[in-house]
Amino acid sequence: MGQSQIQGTSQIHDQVLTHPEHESHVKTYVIVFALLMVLLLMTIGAAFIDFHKFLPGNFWNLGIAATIAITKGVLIILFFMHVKTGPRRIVVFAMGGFLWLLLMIGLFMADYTTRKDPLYPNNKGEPRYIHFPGKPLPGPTPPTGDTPQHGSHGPAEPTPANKPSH
Amino acid sequence: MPHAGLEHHHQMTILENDTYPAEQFEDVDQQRLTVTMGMWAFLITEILFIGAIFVCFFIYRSRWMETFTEAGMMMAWPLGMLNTFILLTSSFTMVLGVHYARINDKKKLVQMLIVTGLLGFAFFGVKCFEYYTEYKHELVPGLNFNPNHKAADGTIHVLKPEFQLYMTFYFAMTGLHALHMLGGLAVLVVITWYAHKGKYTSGNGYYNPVEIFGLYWHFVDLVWVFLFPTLYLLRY
Repeated sequence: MGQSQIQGTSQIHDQVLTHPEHESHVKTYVIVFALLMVLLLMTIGAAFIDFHKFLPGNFWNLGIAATIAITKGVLIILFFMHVKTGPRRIVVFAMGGFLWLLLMIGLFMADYTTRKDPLYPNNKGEPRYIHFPGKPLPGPTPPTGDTPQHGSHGPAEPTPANKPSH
Repeated sequence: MPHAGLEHHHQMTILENDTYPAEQFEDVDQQRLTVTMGMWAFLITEILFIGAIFVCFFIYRSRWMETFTEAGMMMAWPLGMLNTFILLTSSFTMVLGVHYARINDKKKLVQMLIVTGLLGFAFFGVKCFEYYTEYKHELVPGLNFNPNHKAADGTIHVLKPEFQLYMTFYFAMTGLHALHMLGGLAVLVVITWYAHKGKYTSGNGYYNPVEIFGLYWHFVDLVWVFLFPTLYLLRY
């Protein structure tokens, strides 16, 4: 009676499962867990390869790490958090959360990538834009010693320029 | 046969004074949908809360790319990897727990909840060890920070001022995550006790607390899945 008035809830109403269904659920979780483990190893592996050495552009390591993390996240949300088998309105609800997150990131970036920020001047005291890797600064000359230098991440010898003032 | 029909267990008594479905709900489906949506509403606020901190981190990282990369390379990634493994495994045991609650297997439900809890405590232990090591190495801004950092090979490595900003982000983000874990573990203890009492496997289909606690636990796992590469693995 009450059930017929509420549309779209039938999927969340779990019957006591018969044996084969029970098996298939556990099997799905095991597969997802195995995939997550593979992705974890991939994250570690990818972190130690400098993709910029053989690929153009300067965003590969960050991009690959983000892609693997998002894949892991999607697997967790779809299968462990039961969004895939849940009622549609939960799917909409969950997606709404990430839509707001994208809006927030988008608006942050719209501001920070287009605004000269007097609060964070470069070494010469000039206001500057957000600093994207591999992209020359649009404003004044980019400050030296503040740009990423690949292949020279080892402990730097203290020089007069980067000695702490205290 | 449990769960034969909705009318069968309408207003059935769980333990002493709970009824299921609760009186404000039409039926069990509506109650389950309501608690699930409620938990998702909470998780959405959490996603935005944590998301804002991630955005801030990447904005500052873009400003001090070199120092942030250097700092990321100093983090103990094997411990971070161990913790990722522990947390993903605990998510797996949690989802099995929800599954066993659904099929009224009390023994396995309690087992899975206990394993999940133990893995949660293991994560917390590793995290505490990391914090302790960072404190000993004088890398905690405000408490114990020395810009003349002694590297493993004995050489003195002068840390730039922005390094403290990185460490502040590191402690704020992982600390916030650890607090979420602690809160979750407190709830998990209660849920495990009720599961042991048979509250979620009485045959009337009431296991909503296990299910929505599972959602929360997976969310904490999800945040760590993004924290780990962000703080430990951005080396190039």
